[in-house]
Amino acid sequence: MRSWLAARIWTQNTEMDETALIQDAMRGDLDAFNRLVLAYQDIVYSQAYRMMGEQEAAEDAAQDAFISAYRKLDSYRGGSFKAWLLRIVTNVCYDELRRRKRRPTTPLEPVDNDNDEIESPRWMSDPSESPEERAERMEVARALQHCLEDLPPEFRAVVALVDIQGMDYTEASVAAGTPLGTVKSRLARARMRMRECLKGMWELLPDSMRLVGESEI
Amino acid sequence: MNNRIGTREWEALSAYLDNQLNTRDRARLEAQLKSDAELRRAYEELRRTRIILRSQRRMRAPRNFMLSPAMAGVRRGAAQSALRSNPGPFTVLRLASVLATIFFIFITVGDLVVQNYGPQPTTISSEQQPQPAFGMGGGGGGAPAIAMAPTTAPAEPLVGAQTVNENSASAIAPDNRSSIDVTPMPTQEAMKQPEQPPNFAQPGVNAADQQQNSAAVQQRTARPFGATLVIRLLQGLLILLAVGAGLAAYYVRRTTG
Repeated sequence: MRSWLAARIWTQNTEMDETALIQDAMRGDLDAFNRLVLAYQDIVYSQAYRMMGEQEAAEDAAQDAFISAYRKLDSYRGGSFKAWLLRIVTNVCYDELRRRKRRPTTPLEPVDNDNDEIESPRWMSDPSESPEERAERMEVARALQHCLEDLPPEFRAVVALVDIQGMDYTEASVAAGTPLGTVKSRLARARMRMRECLKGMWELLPDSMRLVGESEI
Repeated sequence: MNNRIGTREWEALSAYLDNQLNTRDRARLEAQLKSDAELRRAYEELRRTRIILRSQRRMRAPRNFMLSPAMAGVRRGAAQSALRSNPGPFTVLRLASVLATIFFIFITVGDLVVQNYGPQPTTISSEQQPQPAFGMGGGGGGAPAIAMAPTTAPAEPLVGAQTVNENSASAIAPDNRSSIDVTPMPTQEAMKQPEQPPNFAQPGVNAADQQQNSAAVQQRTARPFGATLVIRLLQGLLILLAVGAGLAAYYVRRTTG
């Protein structure tokens, strides 16, 4: 009971601090805003990385998101500041992904035996490779990231918000800028596709994480 | 595999995992799960997928993303005054475009007003000039009284003169715009002039009536060509400035976000 009370008081103090910092930042206090940046930069960067799949692009997106957030502080109308920030970074990522689609650049992709670039990012699940070879150069996280990148950006954003950032549906709805029903639907479809994708590389997963095999039926 | 399971079932399973189903839907799904092995397997796969996703640790930012004053821009707080004293190119261009538009409208409207309703430049019409060749002709009976008008009312010399010599003037110079009309020899029409206008030199008609009548046929005098040219040039420059500055402002806005 005492620990619960302490946790609740701590949460309230944190919220008050955050509210005060936001108010100060809205009045032009850059130091106050930078304290908010420090508090949320891991979350924002993580979301950007899940969306973009590259460190450099994720850094750019996170930085742009914080600059945009500072300039748009007037439009913050209360509620979850984290969700508000995640919405901004998600939109920045959408814009960048759209821009890349319009002006495709040469991706840093592997080459095959003939030194020809392999065009599809699905190279990691190439069926000609043995599970051992794949297991040597891939980690679970990387596999997961590739499965994420196979998703449409809208699905990717929702699954990253709910399953990786740990947000509830309501927060994710705010962060994604979509209705609650859309979040539910997109999340289900994203998980369905992730399941299919992960099944293709289940050997890479630890035993505890392996999906149900035929033998288990 | 799992082809039998539709999107609706997948959505229900996903919501069930997150405890987002209402009591009724939850009970129904649980009953289905007990009786349907394929659905149970789908649920298990989805649950493990969710575990894998949630097992990912939150990534740490590789660097700080704190904003420097330069990155934050000069938009807020103390910087606001700096913004006011040193407006950006967008503000300047927008202001230039608006001002140019206002001046253009002002000059155009003013020019139209002056041309149509403003006082005309005083000119000496052909009627007022001595006409030695037919001084006794077109003037008619009213001529002596009118002849005094320029000296008594210098601002409106044309009115009286025109009233008296309206017909002869139209016969001599139909355009009535030249202030230095060359006076030709009187035509027969001009010589007949006293018979024509019913209100011409009627006894008892006062000077105000004559002025009113004459206003309807007031002669227009052409503005000097130089002034017209200057106005047109000014209008052209202003419209160019308005459009150019507006487009430049739009471009600046687009490029700087």
